[in-house]
Amino acid sequence: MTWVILGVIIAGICLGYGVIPPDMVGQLDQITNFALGVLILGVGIELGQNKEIWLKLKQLGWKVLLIPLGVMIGTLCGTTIAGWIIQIPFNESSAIGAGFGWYSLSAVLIDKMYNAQTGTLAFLTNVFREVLAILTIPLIAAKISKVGSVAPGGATTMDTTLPIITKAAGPETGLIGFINGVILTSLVPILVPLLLALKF
Amino acid sequence: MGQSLKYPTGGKDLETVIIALGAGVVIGYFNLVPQRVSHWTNYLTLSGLIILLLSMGMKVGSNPKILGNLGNLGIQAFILAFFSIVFSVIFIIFLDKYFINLGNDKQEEVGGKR
Repeated sequence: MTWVILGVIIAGICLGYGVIPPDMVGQLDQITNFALGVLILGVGIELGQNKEIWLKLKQLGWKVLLIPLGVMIGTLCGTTIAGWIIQIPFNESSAIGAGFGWYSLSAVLIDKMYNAQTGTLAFLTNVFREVLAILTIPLIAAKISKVGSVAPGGATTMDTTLPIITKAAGPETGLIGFINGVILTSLVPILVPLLLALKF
Repeated sequence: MGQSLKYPTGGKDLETVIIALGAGVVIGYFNLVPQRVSHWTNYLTLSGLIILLLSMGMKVGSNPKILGNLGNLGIQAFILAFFSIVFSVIFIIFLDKYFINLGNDKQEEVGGKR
């Protein structure tokens, strides 16, 4: 699955770079949203048909909140270590990480509140996170852990990576992924400014 | 570099997501998909996924902010993204093993332990 995904994304990048006329670029958002709407409708149907997953969610209870908590802590640890390697301060690296893959909002926030260079880095990092998540989710679900496949997507597990999680790890994990995505999405506008302000 | 403040707005369309998911759950729960159509849903998902990935790739390819920054800033961004994914996965596997116990196995055992 990863190879097919990689092939399609690379084909898309080539088309976007060389073939697509600039005035069509604006319509890409609409195409993406339409495809996403259809896919998420499909995910919803699968969730509705599998009635036992709702019971499992009930059994899981508050523990489901440990997933976004773990992704948050893991992300902030990861970006702090990465920031140490590439030598950028903690407030920058952690704020960039707190975008959790939601590249448009995190980049705009950091651009406006901090500076354009860091905003661009946040944008690129979170675009890469989304693309890397799409590529690694099927691998992690098949080889390492089904719940683990929720981790790479961050905030995108409620939309763009939700169909991939559901396909690769089943509707039960998809439901957890959606909850994870909703919580992380709502944390982005809170955490990014908070972490940016932390200067040592 | 990075002087233009225009970032793409794509990525979150919360209304679409919530309406589509909610409608889907209702359709699935009450079995509103006709039997004759139901085997087409797989193809629909697959083609939707291809269109989504293709258009996402096209957005990356047509964005000068991404392809124009693939030098030093791109490497830094890749390291940040890579580490955030690796550590997120490690933390989730750890939490699952010791606190959540969803298990990794393919069997549908409730609370199956590893």
